[in-house]
Amino acid sequence: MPAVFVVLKRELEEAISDRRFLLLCVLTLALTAVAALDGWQRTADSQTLKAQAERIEHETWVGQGSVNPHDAAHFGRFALRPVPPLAAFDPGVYDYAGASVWMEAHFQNPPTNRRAESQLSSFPLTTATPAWILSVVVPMIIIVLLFRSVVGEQERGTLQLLLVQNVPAHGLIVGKCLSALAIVGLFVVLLFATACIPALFTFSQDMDWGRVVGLLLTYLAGYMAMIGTVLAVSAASSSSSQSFWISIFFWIGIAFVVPTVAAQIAQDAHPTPRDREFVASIQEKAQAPFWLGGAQYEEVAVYEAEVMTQHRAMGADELGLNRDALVLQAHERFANRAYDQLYGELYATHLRQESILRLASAFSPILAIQQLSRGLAQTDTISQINFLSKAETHRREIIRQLNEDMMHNAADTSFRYTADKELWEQIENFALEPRSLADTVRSYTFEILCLLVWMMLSFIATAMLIRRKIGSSRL
Amino acid sequence: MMARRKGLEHALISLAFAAITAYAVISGLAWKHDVATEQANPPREHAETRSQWFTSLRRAESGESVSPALARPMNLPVLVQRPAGPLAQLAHRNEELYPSTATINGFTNEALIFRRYEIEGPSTLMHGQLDMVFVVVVLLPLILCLLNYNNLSTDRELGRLDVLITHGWRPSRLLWTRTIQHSLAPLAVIVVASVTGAILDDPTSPGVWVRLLGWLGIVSLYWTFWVALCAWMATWSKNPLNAALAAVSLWVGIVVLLPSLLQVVTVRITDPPSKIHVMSLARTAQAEALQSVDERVEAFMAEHGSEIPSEVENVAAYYRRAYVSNSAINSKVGSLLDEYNAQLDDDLKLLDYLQVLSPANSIHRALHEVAGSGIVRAARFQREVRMFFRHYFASIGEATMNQQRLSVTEAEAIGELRFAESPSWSTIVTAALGLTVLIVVVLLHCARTSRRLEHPVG
Repeated sequence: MPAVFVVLKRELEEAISDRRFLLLCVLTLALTAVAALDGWQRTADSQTLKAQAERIEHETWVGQGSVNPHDAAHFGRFALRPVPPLAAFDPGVYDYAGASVWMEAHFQNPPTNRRAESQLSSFPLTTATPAWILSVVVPMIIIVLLFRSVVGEQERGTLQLLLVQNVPAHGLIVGKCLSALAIVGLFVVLLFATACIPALFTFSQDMDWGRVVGLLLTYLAGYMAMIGTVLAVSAASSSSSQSFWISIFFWIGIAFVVPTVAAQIAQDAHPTPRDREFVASIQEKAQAPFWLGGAQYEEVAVYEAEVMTQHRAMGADELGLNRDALVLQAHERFANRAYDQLYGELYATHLRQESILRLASAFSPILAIQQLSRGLAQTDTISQINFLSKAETHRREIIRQLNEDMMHNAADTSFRYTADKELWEQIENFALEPRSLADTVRSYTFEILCLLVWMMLSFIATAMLIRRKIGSSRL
Repeated sequence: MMARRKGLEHALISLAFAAITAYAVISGLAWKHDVATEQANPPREHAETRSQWFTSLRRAESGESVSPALARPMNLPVLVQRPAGPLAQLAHRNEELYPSTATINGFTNEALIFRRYEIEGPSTLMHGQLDMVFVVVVLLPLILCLLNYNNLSTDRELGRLDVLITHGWRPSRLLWTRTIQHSLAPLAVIVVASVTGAILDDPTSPGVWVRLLGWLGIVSLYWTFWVALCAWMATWSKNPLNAALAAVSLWVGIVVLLPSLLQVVTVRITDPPSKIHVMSLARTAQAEALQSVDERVEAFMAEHGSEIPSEVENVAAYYRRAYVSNSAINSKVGSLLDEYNAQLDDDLKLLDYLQVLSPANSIHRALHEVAGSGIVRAARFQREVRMFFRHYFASIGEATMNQQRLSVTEAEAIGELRFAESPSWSTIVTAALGLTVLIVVVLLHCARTSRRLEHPVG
């Protein structure tokens, strides 16, 4: 029997007979099942609530009766964030980001209705979701399985026994790595199936299978990096106890310390403006200069000129346009430029904060897995900003339609003019086209590279350290 | 040699812990300073608008000519702020999650009081800030496990414990001497950091010392719980490796897995109210109110027309219309929000009892309560603001409907809201009692297992 298989067979037998490992596996599987059911229930509830809210929103909008279009614009509409099916697996940052945007005249509003605000417990570290279990708990199980893998051979004297049996160094290295990959791979497929099955059956129609495969590959790559690292630690340690503590410290570091510290650095380095400052700057840049300062005249003149060019007319009166509506739309154009700047800076700050967390992925394969997982599940900051940007585009379109209707039909009745259901029905409901898988992968190239580098370096280190250990054992 | 190495290891661990703790306190103090600075200087616009409003009202009252649009009851601005809690510098991790400002005027309805505040980055919000509660609840147990896992196991493995017993040492005494000796440094770090955090902020703030005592009491209880657990663990670990595995399992179990499970169970049992649902219903209410505003004004006029002074026709009906509309919205949204809050309160009460199952959770909540932060306080703030809004809205009603101004005395009587601090003692007491019971159970069990060490079988 080739040396690799000798090692492989023995490792598998040892893992199966290790009661601690088996107990951990069973407990993790049970926890994953509970988390998966909870995630499925939560996502199904969120989808139902969103569907209900959208129906009510549409009915309320269409059924508002005869109203002035500008009053309707102030009443506004709500854009509701879609609930991606894979949120059942990984809710990502979605609970901490507003789920709806009020689209009204004059104002670009930030999102509202964060789910986390209604959460009764804000206990740190814990979000019992399948993704969290797979990214945080499974690496710990890998440590329990492997921390003695190499150093244990030395302590028990079985390393010498293998060398006496003429098992070559590469056979030992490949055997160790393959056995670990086989056991962890099997366990992960089982866990993954448990984590995804409820969601896959319920949301199969909306499921992007490419993303599911992407998630599986992400977690497997992360675990391979983890396996390589723990094996390297085990090969470098002089005792099982030392190997255990180094691995556990490493795990605590990459699972809890690096994300917490990175988030703290992100907030310190790129602080989000205080909400009142932000509201004040909206007033200063988007409202006051137009309504109270002198910006109105120039803005209205430019817009009027554009409208005239468009209609090949000489003046608003010639077309019978309503001047109040013209001013309202001119303000929208003025304010939109301010919003582009203000919200552009705000989202850039969010992305800069995110970039620090992403950079920290270089130090933590767990963080790299989590970032990629959120991206693939479409519950990351980039998806949230995508939603907000699309909602804003939709808002501008709604307000433009309403203002133009008033401009063309109100004549001199201005705010006494009313439109009816026909106009309301022309306003489309908000719908968000999700980002493509290719876009997601492109956005997370850094994390993919981090995982690959971790994987490669850890296995190279494992091979070198096992060779060194074998060398010192021969001596 | 070995003892010196172990001592050095312990010193390094304690030093690292002290550094993280110091960072948490400094970060908390900086955060609280920012909040205090911001709140001490309310937006210039607000202060100016309010002052101008009162100036116009005084001019109108003294008979001067004032524009009909000025100093109207509907325009009286009130800004309500949720100040940082007395010890919030020690527990500020998720404070940015909850609304801290409410802008009130007659054009606001209950659904809109807390709008425009959710601008924080979702990632950083999810990870939260490093604070003392995190240090106490998550890191302190880990450090205690690290310092104590090997209190007896090496001696047992090498057979030194039997030698010590034959020399008259009682294993329980040895165990407790070592455990307390190793555990005092982290407690001292926490105590010093907490007291320093309180002194450097505002030691003269009312109730701060009582809260600090409460904080230290809860920290001490949690420390005692973990010291007892570590001692108990040491009584049955026969070698350092098993002891290390047990220590980490205990930490993961109590600090990570149990709270996670409790979170899942709580969500399933309580079914927290959905804000989206409330929002949808509020929209419907708003639409209905807007559609029926004319009928409502007519109905009011039919009922109270004779009470309205003759100059009514000279004043814009805009304010009255807006008031009637918001009044209708409030009557519907208010009851929805009351239901939402009642459900939240019931859920939080249930959590008070459920949390006994997870010591880390109960301490987490108790520390937030005593420091003056967290969801319970945020919910209380929102409820108080709504109550104040109702008082405000009722106070401006008669004058607005009669299209008159308030008198200066009436306007001043409306006042401004100062958020009243009142920790939920039931949460604190339940947590303390639950933990005390657990400590007694662990200590009793520990006493039994350590007696066994004195008479080892074989």
